[in-house]
Amino acid sequence: MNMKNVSIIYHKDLREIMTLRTVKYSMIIFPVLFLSILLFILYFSYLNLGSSSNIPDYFNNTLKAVPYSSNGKIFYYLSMNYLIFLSIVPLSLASTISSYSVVGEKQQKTIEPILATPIDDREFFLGKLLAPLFPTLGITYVVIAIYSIFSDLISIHFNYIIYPNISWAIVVFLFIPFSTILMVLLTLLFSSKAVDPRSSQQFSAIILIPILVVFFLSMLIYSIESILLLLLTAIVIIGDFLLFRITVKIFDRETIVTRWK
Amino acid sequence: MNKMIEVINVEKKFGEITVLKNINFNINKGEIFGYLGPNGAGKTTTIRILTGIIEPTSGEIFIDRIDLKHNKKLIRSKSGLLTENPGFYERFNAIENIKFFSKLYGLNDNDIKSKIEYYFKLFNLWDHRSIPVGAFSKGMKQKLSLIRAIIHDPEYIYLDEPTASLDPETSNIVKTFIKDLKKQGKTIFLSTHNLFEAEEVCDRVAILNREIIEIGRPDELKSKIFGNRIVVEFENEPEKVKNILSTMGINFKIEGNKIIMDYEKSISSLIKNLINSGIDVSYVYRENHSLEEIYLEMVK
Repeated sequence: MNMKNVSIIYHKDLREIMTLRTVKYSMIIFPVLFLSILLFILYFSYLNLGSSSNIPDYFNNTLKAVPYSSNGKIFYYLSMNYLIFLSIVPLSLASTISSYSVVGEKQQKTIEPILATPIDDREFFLGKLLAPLFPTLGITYVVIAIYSIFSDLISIHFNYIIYPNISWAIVVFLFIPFSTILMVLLTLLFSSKAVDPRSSQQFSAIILIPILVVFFLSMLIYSIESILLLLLTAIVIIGDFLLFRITVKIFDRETIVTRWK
Repeated sequence: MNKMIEVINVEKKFGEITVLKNINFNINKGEIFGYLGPNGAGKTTTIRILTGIIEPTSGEIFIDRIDLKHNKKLIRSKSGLLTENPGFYERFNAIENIKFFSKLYGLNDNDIKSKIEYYFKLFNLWDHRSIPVGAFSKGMKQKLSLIRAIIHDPEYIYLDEPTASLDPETSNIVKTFIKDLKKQGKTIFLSTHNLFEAEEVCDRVAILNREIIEIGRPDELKSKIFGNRIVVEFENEPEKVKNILSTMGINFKIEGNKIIMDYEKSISSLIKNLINSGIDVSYVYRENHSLEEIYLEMVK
């Protein structure tokens, strides 16, 4: 595989995405808004933490292993859960950006001239996959960094620092990247059938909602259990693998040229 | 003549539908080969197969004696394609568009810069180089598309309807450029609806309707379909004319004041006889048929 060709497609897509005002603004406004709300909720939760006697048994049992005071344990739990919520940022951004990437080619009829050049299907597909992935992860890591520092600043009041920890590392470096890849693949898959970016996003959103519900419920319950987090991440990775195979088939050049309308 | 493109028994099916059947032709190096056919005849599919974008269901293709099936990347790097739809990134300017495609063809930055300047000036696009392509007219996009097809100096160039819906001036620029490419030794495959254009620029043409109906030089096809017929126009005495022709044993038909007959070497003695018999001969000419008439006759 010629990585130079992958890079040419990647940079072209990235540059094209940046010429779209709606995408550019949503890449700034949505993460800022979402982060602000989460930080506010986290701070508000900290201000309203009750006495240790109010802690439900569930927390005490689940947080047995966490070596902090009762309120510290609750704050730890809340902060970790909100961190999981932050994965909505990359999923949403990935869906927005990647839906433009394929539909844009279709609308402008640029696919055939690209396929006439000495690029192969895998290089084209990989460029399309990476273009939404890297900026999405870049923005997400900035958001996570701010969130983590803010959480740590609060947790100092409980005489500890929450982040980094193993669960955090699993979420940040495994769960978020792989679930973002899953989202990009889903959107690319639906983009190949869609005629405009909006319908592509809607298609992927319809599929995404049940997946998100299942994942977030699981994660909220088990977010501090590293092994369970790893297990869930493994399921996402398997999903990535299966979806990758399906999407590569859709990106076969004969299908692209003759069936993408 | 060196065979540049050899197509042997190519067939293409999409599902159960056969869109190309028993396609066989050769194109010589430096030749302009016209590919004519109605909508849905398989012209664009043939180009997609020859450029390695899609695979034939069966058959073999050799480009410059290299098997296309196993050398698609290499062959695509030496091919230029002008697609039926120009297909550009509308928010990018003309230079950004051409740069992107040139990089995919493996050109380096210096080459790209000098070639862009040369071709943009040649096609009067230099002053529009920084304008988003979305603001370009159809003619400007077509010129840009032609630049994209040739910027990497390909050996064989596939042109799919290069002058479709262009104004006559731009159409002429494109046709002149196609002839210039031939002078540079490029092999050109020209798919077109425009039969006048094919007649004007093509060395040979193939008439296609899912399978090849006929291949040859335009003048060869004309004589094959209509024969070499001579028309003699006269002013008076048709009965006398008939008698003279019958006496000479010539196969003919008379339409009004025109004698239409197969070309024979006896044409000069016929004219002499007519004039000596007091017939006023006003015109003698070879019956002319356009490629369009041939085409209509063949796809009938």
